Amino acid sequence: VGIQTPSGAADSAPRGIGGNDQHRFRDETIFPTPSSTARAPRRERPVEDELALIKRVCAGETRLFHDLISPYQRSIYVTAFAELQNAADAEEAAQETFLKAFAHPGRFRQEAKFSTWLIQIAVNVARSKRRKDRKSLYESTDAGTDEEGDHSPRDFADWRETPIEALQRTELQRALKNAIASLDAAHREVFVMRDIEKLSIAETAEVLRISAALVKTRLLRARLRLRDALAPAIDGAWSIGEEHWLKVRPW
Amino acid sequence: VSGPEISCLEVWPEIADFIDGILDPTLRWRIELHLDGCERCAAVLDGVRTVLALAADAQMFDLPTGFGVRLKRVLARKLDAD
Repeated sequence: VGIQTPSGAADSAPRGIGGNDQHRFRDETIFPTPSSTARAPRRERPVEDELALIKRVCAGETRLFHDLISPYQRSIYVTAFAELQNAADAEEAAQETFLKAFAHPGRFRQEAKFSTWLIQIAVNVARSKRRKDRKSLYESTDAGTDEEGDHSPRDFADWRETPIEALQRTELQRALKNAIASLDAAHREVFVMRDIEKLSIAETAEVLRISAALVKTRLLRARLRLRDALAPAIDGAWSIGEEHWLKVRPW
Repeated sequence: VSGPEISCLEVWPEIADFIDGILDPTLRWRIELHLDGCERCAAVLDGVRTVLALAADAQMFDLPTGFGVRLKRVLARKLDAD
């Protein structure tokens, strides 16, 4: 028997989606690979251009501010929505975020990316708004959320052998939105920062003012919970929010 | 020295780091070995990957209609006020 050598360092290609392995199973018209997702690549503005724009805004060319923040409208809205779970509140928080940035552009110190600075403001604004709305009485990002211990997926429903082909992308997206909404705020905001806004673990920790270790713990739990929430029940229907799952088969 | 075998209970806490590609190479290799022979963990991993692919889709969180126009208006009012 030959000895296998660790391959992790050299082979970091993901399994499943986008990966090249025996577990590949999806119809990519429904489950796109990361490279084929409909997410239009952000038109990345060169950092130098952005810094030059910031300098001009700080120097008084305030009419350029809209150009400066324009690429980040969606990020800021999504960040606020993750906190507030309401479109109107999220839009209001997003507007307030941009107004705060407009009022104090000189506070951007270039220690972080401009986008991260905006997201930080958005988190603060949205959290403040949530506190004012007294939602924190019912849900707190600081509450004990069982950070350690149980990382077990609740259900082993195997998507590969269920009639997923019949499900439309919009239904999947709706199911995922519901599942994200069902997360508590602490896990939801980490998932949104990391897996939707694509911040690094360090950036997520900085924005949320928690440790990198806690980001990783919450991220793991959020991802597993979302996976569990989307596991189809025996009849192929989605069962978001149900307490108990009908398993596809007993394991 | 322990062998390469690793249990499901040891794999699950590492799934996020495995996906993010930030695991120690040896642990990654042990998990890959496990995944090759464990349908359950492979299904969990595939499920999480599907969640991430869906989440990365821009259509997941579209801006409300008119968001940009309203924002521009708010900023213009602020500019005029200043």
